[in-house]
Amino acid sequence: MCSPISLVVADYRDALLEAVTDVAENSLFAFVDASDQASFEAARTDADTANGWLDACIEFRGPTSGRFGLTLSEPLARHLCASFAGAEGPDEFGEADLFDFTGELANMMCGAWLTRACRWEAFSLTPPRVSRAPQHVASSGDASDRCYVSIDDALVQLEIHWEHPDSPSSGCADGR
Amino acid sequence: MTESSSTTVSEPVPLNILVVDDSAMMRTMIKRAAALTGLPIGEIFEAANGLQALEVLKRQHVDALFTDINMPVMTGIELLQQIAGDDRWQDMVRVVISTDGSESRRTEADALNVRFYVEKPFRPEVLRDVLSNLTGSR
Repeated sequence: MCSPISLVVADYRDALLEAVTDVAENSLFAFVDASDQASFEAARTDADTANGWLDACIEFRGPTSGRFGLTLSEPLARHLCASFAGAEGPDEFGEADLFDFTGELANMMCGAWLTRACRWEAFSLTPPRVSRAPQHVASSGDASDRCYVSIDDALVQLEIHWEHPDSPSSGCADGR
Repeated sequence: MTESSSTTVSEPVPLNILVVDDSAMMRTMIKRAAALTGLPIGEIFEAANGLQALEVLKRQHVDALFTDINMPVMTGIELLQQIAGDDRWQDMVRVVISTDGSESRRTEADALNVRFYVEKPFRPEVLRDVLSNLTGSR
């Protein structure tokens, strides 16, 4: 059985990076590398991409509870959407398709991560909420843990906000 | 000129499928993967949640159900419970396609006569293998 404590012991960061790699390689035919907060912040404030970012958020309930967040640029979302759907190009999709795909991407990453982190007990996930990311403000120290990866050389932020007070609080902003 | 054979070879009966997932993109991906298998697939119906799926099942003949678990309105588990309690759908093959691969969810699905459990993310070949098994066993 899996308790919140064993979920902590299971090293959620490694499980999360494994899950993201699995999703990218198996469903999107894309490659994942570790990255870091500084690279992500630079990409978010870059004049060419500053206005085109998407956020997806899912709440999970089970042995431990919290929120999973995914932030990626619109060009990357379109590129991955085209791979997923087997489409000719990234501009074939309207806003609804793009949001649907981004939500499903977050759902696959979150579900695959929780299954790895806690193999024995089920979690329930809320439907993903997807929105255009607001004007970027550099992240400050709060209750969230963040990991940074690049998918096909484009930066992605993964964020976990734990509800349980004893859940891990150390971030992975160094790109582990 | 080709002569017709006196031996009757029965054509495989196409498999009617219902795909239940709240993501339209995931439904499209599953339909596309099914079409690419080259297997005898008949009609592919879609539903965005368990309640919509029940409405389809009441109107259409479905041989195989592919359902997600976490969905709004009616979850995949609630849908499978409804199906298990109705004699009309006892011969329908049930397949779960979900991000939730936990042992407790798999046990729950087993108890509801789920024949295959596919974890997301999955490669298209996995779906082909499941469909090959279904079409070959009919």
